[in-house]
Amino acid sequence: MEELLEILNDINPDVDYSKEKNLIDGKVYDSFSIITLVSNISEEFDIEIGPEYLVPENFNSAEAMWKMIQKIQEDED
Amino acid sequence: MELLTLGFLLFCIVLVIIYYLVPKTMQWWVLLAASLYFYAMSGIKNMIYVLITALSTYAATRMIQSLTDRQKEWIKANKKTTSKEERAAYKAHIQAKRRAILVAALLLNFGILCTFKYLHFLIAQVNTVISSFGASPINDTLKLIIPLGISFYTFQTMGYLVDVYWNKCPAEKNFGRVLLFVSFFPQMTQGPISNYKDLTTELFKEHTFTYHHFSWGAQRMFWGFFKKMVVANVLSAYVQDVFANYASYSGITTLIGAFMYSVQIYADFSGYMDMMCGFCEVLDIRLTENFERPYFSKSIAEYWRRWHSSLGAWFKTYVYYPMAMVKWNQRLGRWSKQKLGKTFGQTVPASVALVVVWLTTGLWHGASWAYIAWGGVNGIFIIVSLWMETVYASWKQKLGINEASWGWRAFQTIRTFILVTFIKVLPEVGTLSDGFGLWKQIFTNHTIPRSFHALLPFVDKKMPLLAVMIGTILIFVTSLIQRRQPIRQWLEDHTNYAVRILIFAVLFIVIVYFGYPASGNGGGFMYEQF
Amino acid sequence: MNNFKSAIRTCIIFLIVLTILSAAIMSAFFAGENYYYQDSRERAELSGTLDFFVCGASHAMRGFRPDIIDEELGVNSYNLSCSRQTMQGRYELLKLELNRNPAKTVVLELSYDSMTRNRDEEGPEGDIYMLGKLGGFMPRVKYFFSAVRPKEYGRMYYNYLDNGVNCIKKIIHGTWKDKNTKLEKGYAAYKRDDDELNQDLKQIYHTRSFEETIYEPNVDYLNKIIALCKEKNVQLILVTTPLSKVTVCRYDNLDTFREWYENAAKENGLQYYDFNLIKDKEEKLPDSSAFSDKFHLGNKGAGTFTKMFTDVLNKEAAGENTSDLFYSSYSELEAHMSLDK
Repeated sequence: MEELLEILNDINPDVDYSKEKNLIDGKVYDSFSIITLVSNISEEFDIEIGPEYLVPENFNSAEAMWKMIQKIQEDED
Repeated sequence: MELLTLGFLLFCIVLVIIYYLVPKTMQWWVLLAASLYFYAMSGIKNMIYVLITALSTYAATRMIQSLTDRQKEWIKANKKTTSKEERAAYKAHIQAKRRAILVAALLLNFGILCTFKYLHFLIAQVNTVISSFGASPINDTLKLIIPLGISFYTFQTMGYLVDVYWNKCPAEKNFGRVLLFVSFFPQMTQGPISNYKDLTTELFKEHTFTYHHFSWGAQRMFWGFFKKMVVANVLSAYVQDVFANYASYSGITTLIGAFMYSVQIYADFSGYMDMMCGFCEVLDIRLTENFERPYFSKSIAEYWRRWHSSLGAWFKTYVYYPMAMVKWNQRLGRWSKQKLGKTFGQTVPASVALVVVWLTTGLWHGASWAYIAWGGVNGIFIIVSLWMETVYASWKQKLGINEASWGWRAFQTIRTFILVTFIKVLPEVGTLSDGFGLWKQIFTNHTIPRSFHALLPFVDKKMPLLAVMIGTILIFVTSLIQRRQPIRQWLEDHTNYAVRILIFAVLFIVIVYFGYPASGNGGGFMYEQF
Repeated sequence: MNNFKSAIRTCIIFLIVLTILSAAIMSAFFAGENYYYQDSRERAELSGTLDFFVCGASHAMRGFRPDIIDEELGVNSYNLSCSRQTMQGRYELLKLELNRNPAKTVVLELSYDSMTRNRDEEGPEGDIYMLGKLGGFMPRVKYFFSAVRPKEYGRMYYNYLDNGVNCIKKIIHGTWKDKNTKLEKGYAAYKRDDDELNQDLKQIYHTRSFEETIYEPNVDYLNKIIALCKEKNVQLILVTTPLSKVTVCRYDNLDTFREWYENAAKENGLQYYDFNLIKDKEEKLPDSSAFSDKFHLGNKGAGTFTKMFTDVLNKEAAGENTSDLFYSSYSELEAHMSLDK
């Protein structure tokens, strides 16, 4: 989780990731930041985030992202 | 079927009546019948292509879904008895099959689309190359009439296909429903391009007739008619004249013509949207919006989120993200971060994806170098502003510019509108060199027109011009109001029933009075050619 | 159900308000002094006194001068013609006038397109003028629903709105009482406005043909007119007005139409005159001065032609043989015609 928060803060440090639940729907992250985020996450966690995971529900909060990362790691099993 | 006729009006009225008389579970059948009838009326040969798209998508999605289900079952059943490698190999095997089906269906449907839209263009380019070698060019005698709305329904349906492939939604088992999704007639001619989940939720729910939807829907349709018949159609005559004769007009006149084009195409396209969305509202169906006051945008990037936003969303989901996240692009990104520094390097995957998006967007709008160039110009602006974001931010700080101030936002809006107008006009004049010619005329011809006729030589009678000016102001004012609340809500809050009836009766008369003679020009809709 | 009732109620109220607003705008036109309404008013004033009528389309409207007819024949005549008037229009107007006037003679103008004009393809222009010329609310409503096609209703709505707005503009400028065209008892004077009357006749000789497909309703209405005149004991004379020499040379099938009308006249015991074939036409009605365009007489030509016409009628009345004054066919005419201008 810490590594995830590090990545998030690197892209946009002004957000309180423990509280914010609307990163995508609230347009806090634009399409460019999302791409940066996804590539950093996939690099850091050595996973492949396919387009099927690119839905707002998976990225609206740090919690949701973490759940998604874990699921992908599990699925790659 | 010509949209603006008594026949179509009758069709709509009959449809609404039957739609609300049948049992609610049968309502979508009525929509399907109406859509097929509508399409058949516009040329029964074209129905073949719609059916091919619907059938191939139905078959492909069901096959992909059954493979996905099979994979899940197998993994579940064999999780304990197989090794990780075995499971990975099985997954890869299934995945290969799924991909093959996807690719086949995509090739078929995009192949049909590209043949109709781009064959002539392709042949022309090949001929240019061939004749430069002295060989005789290919004879291009095939007359291809583009099936109505093929760009729109192909994109919409392929979106569904890819969604099933990405497991974003399950494959629909009922072919009738898939067919309705493909052929839903309000969206056929000019979109919006909806995604499967949103549209089908609306199409297949139970619809109840409410006075509110009827009233708001009808009001919206009137407004759309006004924009199209009065503002867009009258301006169309002026704009055609400027595009044909700019070489003999002053720079100011040409510039006015360019701005008129911006207003015209907005009124035309958003007017159509209003008509269709209004009609669907009467049917208790909510369509995706395509426009959100685009000329109030403060940047080109924002503009493309507000103009024809359903197309932008489609490209974002199905081209931009996949392109940006594909392996070789990601590798390129990592390499760039190392070699070119982090700030610039991390824009590379997005930039590459944007180039692809914008060239294809340009191509979607028209089969010519002018449109490809147009797409490219839009893309360049967006990519450059992406690169320069931090640089701009520091400039603004140094100049002490307050980004939230009214003055700065007005500057951004006006600047964007002017930029958008110039870009928009480029492929519309004729060839690419015609477009550049028009730009050149605006900048280099400094003649000051000394009379009304010299300023606006394309205006014959003064009343339509007056109507257009008032119409444009009305559109502007309603857009301002709509930033806070829907204009129809504003009407309800600030006027009474009698006044509203009067307003729309007057609007009807204005539409007939100005719209009828002008409907000789640009009689169909501008985006219908797609 | 309430929702549905409210929707129906709103639709009805909307239609009522729309009708009232539209009527308000259009009323300026209906009350106003448009040429055709002026004409209907003039005829209403003269009703009961007219005994000679000319009926036809624009050829007759621009060709027959009632003042000369009155003088030469000692009658009180009126020219009922209007542009693009259909056979149905001619019938209805004749019926109206014959019912309220002591008519003795009707001249019906028939040309190359009187039987072939296809109302379904042509559009409602002639009927728009007819609606103006008819008098009274009910006759107009009846004619509207019998002549105008449903697909043309939109265009008619626009037409009356447009006319209403134009009249309102005239009221604002104070010019609404001005008479529109130089109009005398239905005759409209036209100046020359066609530059194409100067042609090399040899080059254009027999290069075109007029449409020969008959539109059946036209024939029906012709028969109705013949029957109406018989019933009212009115002498019916069939006439083809003169066309320019350019037109006579250019089109090769004018004999077809002449034969149709001759047959109709013979079958019904009527007189038919084709004034393209009168022997002194070229001398008295030269292209250079008598015509306003290739198909219509101009003011000067109308005066000459009307006199030629009344001369023929007077000779008939005196018992003289008038057939010697005419060639018997276009082939005969062309044998005597030079193409050197």
